[in-house]
Amino acid sequence: MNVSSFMGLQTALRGLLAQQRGLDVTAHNLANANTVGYTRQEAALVASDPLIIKAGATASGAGALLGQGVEVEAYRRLRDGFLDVQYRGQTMALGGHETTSRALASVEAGLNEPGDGGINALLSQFWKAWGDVANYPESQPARQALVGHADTLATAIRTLDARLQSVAQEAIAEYNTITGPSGPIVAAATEIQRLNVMIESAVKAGRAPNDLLDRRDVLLDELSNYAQVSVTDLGSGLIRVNFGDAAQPLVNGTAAPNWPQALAAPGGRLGALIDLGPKTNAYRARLNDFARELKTSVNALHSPPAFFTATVGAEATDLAVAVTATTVKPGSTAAPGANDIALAIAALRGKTADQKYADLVGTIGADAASVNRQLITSQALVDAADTRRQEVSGVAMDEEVTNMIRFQRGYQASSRVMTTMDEMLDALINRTGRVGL
Amino acid sequence: MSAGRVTEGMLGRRLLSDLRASTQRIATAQRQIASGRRIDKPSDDPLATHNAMRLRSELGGIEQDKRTISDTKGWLDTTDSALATITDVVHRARELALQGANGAIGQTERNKLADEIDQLIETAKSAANSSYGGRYVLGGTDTDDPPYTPGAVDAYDGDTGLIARQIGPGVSVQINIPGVNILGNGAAGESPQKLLRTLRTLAADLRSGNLPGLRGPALNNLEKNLEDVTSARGVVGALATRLESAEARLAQVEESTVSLLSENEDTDIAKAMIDLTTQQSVYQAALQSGQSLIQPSLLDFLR
Repeated sequence: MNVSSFMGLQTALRGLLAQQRGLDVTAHNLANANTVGYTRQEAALVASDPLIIKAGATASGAGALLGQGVEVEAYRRLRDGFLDVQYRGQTMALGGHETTSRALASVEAGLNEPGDGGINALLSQFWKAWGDVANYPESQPARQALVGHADTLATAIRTLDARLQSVAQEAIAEYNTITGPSGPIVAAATEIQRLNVMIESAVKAGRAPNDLLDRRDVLLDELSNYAQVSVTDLGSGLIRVNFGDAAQPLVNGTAAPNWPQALAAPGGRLGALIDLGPKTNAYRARLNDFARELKTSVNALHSPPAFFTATVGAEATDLAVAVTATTVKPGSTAAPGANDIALAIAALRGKTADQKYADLVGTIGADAASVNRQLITSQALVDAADTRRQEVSGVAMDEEVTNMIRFQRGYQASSRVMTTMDEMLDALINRTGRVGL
Repeated sequence: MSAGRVTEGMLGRRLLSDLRASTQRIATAQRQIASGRRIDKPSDDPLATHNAMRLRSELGGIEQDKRTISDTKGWLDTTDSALATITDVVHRARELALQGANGAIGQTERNKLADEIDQLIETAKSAANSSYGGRYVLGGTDTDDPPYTPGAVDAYDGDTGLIARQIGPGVSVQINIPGVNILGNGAAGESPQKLLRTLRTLAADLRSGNLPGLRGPALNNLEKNLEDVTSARGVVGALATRLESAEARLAQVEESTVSLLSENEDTDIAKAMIDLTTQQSVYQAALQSGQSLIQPSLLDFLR
């Protein structure tokens, strides 16, 4: 069997086209060098199927395979799924720590410790005011000052309690916003489901939906900030996404997203928001404990009349001063100089109530310090995971520009081949058989 | 094979996160220097915060105790000078009793001596009515009213309540002496007989010329009354000494607490300054390297 004279032209054309596709992919990569979540692609070139030349074509009488140029086998997406799993795991931890750290910073700001405006300083002034009353039990101004200091102290305790309460409420509100009908979860889930549909049809048609896959991966990254995300490959480019500890998958192939669902311990930002409730409640219980100690230790010496009033079990919420400057009782007798009660109360400084409050502040500080350290660690881990991912999937300019030169040269070479073929055929067609003309 | 690939995005992100960390450290050092405090919030150092709160509370207590001591000193000074006046009264009364007991002087003279005793009674009562900061120091806990009324009535208008003061952590002392323990109630049948009753009896004896009374019981009673006053002054003096030493000790404790507190929460300026300078040069170096790192690429060399 003979080989067509025009086959070389076809081979050169394939070369031209393949180099052009390579250049196209390079252009696409360079254009997306700064696109979030973009995965670099490459045109995988393979030699075309060879032309089979039957037996007898060669001197030995055997057949042969004649190369027919190049083809683009696939547009490959350079990505490592394992790194995605790592990155999402760290993003989830980071989301949780960020949320907790932010909330605790707000609690700490409310404490105002150590400083002159915190409850510790107000407590100190309160005991000092009792000391003044012990020194001047007859003095109305001293007692007036005491009532004023006591009132400031009670107000500060109530304010801190309200602050803790509002941190818990803000956490609930944020949780509801995120998981709500216009929140990011449902938006991402809907988009993933839509992409699933598009990706499936592309895969079934034999096309590689690289950029759609990138967009879906970005959405999964985003979701992993909110809670634990696990992805199962369902084949044909479809995925199932399990979100947190929700009973049903959030997205299952092309089915409509299944949201809202109840979450108990989803991890990530939502997990941290759920945990903030019990955490602040524990702080409030300790604050209550302190307010109760303050109330009972002072009242035990002072009453009747009771110095502080508060609802049992919610002391920090409604602690109030129940006496006035005239009903403050410095001594156990009505004598104006009697100061034994004031003396005993002033001696409560540094006792259980003070310690309880200092312990509470210490606990909050230790919790915040611990979560801040974890935040720094998980930020570093996210950065590291991202760096590893970028090593595989990121666009490197120098590499792309080198490829650009490569494909340009390849294109030039193929077109030179075509020119050569053309000249060859010119010799055959236009100049052959014109002997003597 | 993938390891070692370095992309422009990686470099940029890395530079940015390093710069951010560096800026953060500069801000921390700057804040510590400007505020003079190492701890801004409990999480900066939970243990030191806990200590700082305890130390601050202790400082508050020390300040209170110091105020109490200085007030108590004034109280004791007042008490002591009242007791000194009363001591003088007793001494003078003793002289007058001795003069009156002398058989050589006439009744007119004795009446004059009796008049002076009456004056001494008023002096003693007005000394017992001494007040400090509006408070009658010898009236027991009834500090609002003078314990004695001038004139013929010698009844004690105070009570025998005791007043204590805290002069140190867990240390409280009794600071008052009820006047009735020294001057008495002026009523008959006191045992032992107190000063006012002694003086009234002395005046009566002088007026009636009761020489045996003047020679015997009057002098004996005055002797006992003098002991009352002297021992009361002894108590007051001992207390004043105790206050002095308590004050000195408080000053020491205050100094050590303040320095502990400062060690605990104040910025080590030298260290913070070095940190700041180091971080600033790190930051500048990072900026410079970033500038030279990011700018050139293969594109700069292609025509």
